[in-house]
Amino acid sequence: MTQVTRRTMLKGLAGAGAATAVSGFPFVNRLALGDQPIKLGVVVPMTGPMALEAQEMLAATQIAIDDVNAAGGVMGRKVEPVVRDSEFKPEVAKRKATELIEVEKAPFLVGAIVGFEGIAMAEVGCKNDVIVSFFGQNFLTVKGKMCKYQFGNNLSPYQTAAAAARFVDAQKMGKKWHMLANNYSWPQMFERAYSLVAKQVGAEWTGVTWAPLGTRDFLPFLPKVAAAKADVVFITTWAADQVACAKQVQEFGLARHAQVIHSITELTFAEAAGKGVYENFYSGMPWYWQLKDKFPEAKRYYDRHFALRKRAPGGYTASTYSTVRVLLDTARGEKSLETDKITRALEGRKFQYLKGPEQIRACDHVNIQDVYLCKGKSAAAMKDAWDFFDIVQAVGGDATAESCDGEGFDPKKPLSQQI
Amino acid sequence: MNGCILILVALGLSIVFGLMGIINFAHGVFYMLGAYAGWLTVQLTGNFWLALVTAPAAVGLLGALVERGVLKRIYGTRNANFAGVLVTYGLAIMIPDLVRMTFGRPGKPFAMPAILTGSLFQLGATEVHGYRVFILLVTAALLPLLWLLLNKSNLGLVIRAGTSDNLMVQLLGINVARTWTITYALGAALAGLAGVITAPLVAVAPEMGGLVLIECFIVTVVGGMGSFLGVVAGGLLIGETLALTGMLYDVFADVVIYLAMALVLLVRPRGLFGQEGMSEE
Repeated sequence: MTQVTRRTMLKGLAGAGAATAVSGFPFVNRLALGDQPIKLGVVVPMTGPMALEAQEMLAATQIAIDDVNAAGGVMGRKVEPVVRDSEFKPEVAKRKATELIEVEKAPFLVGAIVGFEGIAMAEVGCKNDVIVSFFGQNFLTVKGKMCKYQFGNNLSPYQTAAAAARFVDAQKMGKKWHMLANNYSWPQMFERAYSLVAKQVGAEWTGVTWAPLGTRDFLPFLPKVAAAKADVVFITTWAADQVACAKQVQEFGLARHAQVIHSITELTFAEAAGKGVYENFYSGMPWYWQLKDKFPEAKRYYDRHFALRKRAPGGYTASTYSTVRVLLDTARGEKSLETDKITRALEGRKFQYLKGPEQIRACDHVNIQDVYLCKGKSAAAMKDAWDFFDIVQAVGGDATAESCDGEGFDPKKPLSQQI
Repeated sequence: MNGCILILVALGLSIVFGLMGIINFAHGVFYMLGAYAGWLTVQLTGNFWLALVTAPAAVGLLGALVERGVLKRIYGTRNANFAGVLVTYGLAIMIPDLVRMTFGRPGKPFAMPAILTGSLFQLGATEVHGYRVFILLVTAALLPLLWLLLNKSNLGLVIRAGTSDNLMVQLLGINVARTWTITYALGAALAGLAGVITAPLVAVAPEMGGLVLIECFIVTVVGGMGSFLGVVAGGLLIGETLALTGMLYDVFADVVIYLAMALVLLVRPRGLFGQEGMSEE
């Protein structure tokens, strides 16, 4: 029998100790990680046409993280953003999201401004059982298109359109509706919403004038819009298309014949168009900086954002704050980073940050919230560089969101129990 | 409006291709730079009319610098045409990012002059506005001047001769290098002018040159690469096709110009007014 010497025994114990430390007893890992920050994976288009909006969203993300860290962080650990540039390309967004999960070990992913980035990130998150929460519109809320780990506090297209349509109805702007929109999937979701609400409120839906994405000259499309003789024209365009469209619709004088409603806009678009271009147009927004005069937390947020960026935050920026904050607050409350546990806790969660009360509807993860319909000001009426609109009405609640039935979900069950 | 803008931008593209054989992917960038140069002029002076002069001049000068500083190095090299594509494509990626870094946020407000706002008269279902008529008049005034320059001046003679047989022109002792610089600068200036006159109607942003470049390639292919008349005809055809489709059958507007191009190429591979051999190789 081989004799085990004291030296051999000590060597063996040391080796076993080292191996245990590497593989890790749970308590050893927890202690070791106690000092390490939790990484929040952020993928936004820091380069490309949405670079400004991305920088704004990063500022909002940082402010939300600062608030969570000031409250003690998550499980006693600080949170830090790990930011990647999607370059406004879906394949890059997918690669960066994968990198954040596999290399950085980020337990949550947030980001994406437009649909193709969101789809790419969702694919990665769902495959790896990681929660993905969007900064852009929450557009995948249809059965067959989403997994249980997808969230997003921004508006859904249906919500946005339904809010604008309810606003038009409440303001008695007329019962004949038309839409001018870019021809791709996102505005097509608005068409469905508008036509459905038109039926519900007894309005006549005269259809859509479709302009290709990237249209430089909207004038050829405007006679068809005018020929519809609608009381209300909804415009569903985005970014450069919206700026060009707003300028040319103003030039065409469409607002003399009909109420013009931009389904959704962002402060940066009004800035790019210039003073007075949105005059007399109504626009939907998830948030507008005038809310700082109504909600103290919105004022605090506004001041910190302004100090960071030297400009007023836009609606998508405020939604970003809310998206990050509710995710981290939920993880803090649950004292966990476990995907399924956080998902269940987010479903049905009520919260209030920068605007009126919000709730993540359990059956489809749509964030039930107010949409702010604002009226564009003339150049002369603007008091400062961001004073493009006045809030006219907040439209919100379940009435603006499509029913879970309509999306193919069971309204009585949380989404995590359905897919 | 579209047709006029396409003609102005595509003319530069076509002239550069005709003389230098370069498929100039950086051409859309000059259109964008024209809008930015115009915006800068208006910011500094408040004078839109001055911007109409400074923007094309500045962009033309930049075009000359690009030709002298970058493109000159690839002339006479093996695969010069391919290298030209790569180099100009690289510029088309790099310059918008430089603009973004220099000018900050995308989207610069650019108002049209008050004197040109408002409707002038009704034409069918469409109100014709002052600024649209202005664009039409600028294009209409420029085209004969350009035609005279290209067909009746010594410079035009050299350009046309160079398009036809570059080597022979050099053998005759003509300074072709300078002609190339002037030609490239002229093409850039035309794109710059198109950029500044479009700016009040669109979003002035670093990426605005991308789509116009695609449409201008279609215009030059339809009209015939290197042909002045071809570009005018192609620009009007594509511009009007876009406009009429928007009015009559909007859902078709996405694809109609590609179908128009395919149709023309099927019937006449060299384009409507293209010279035999050019773009058929």
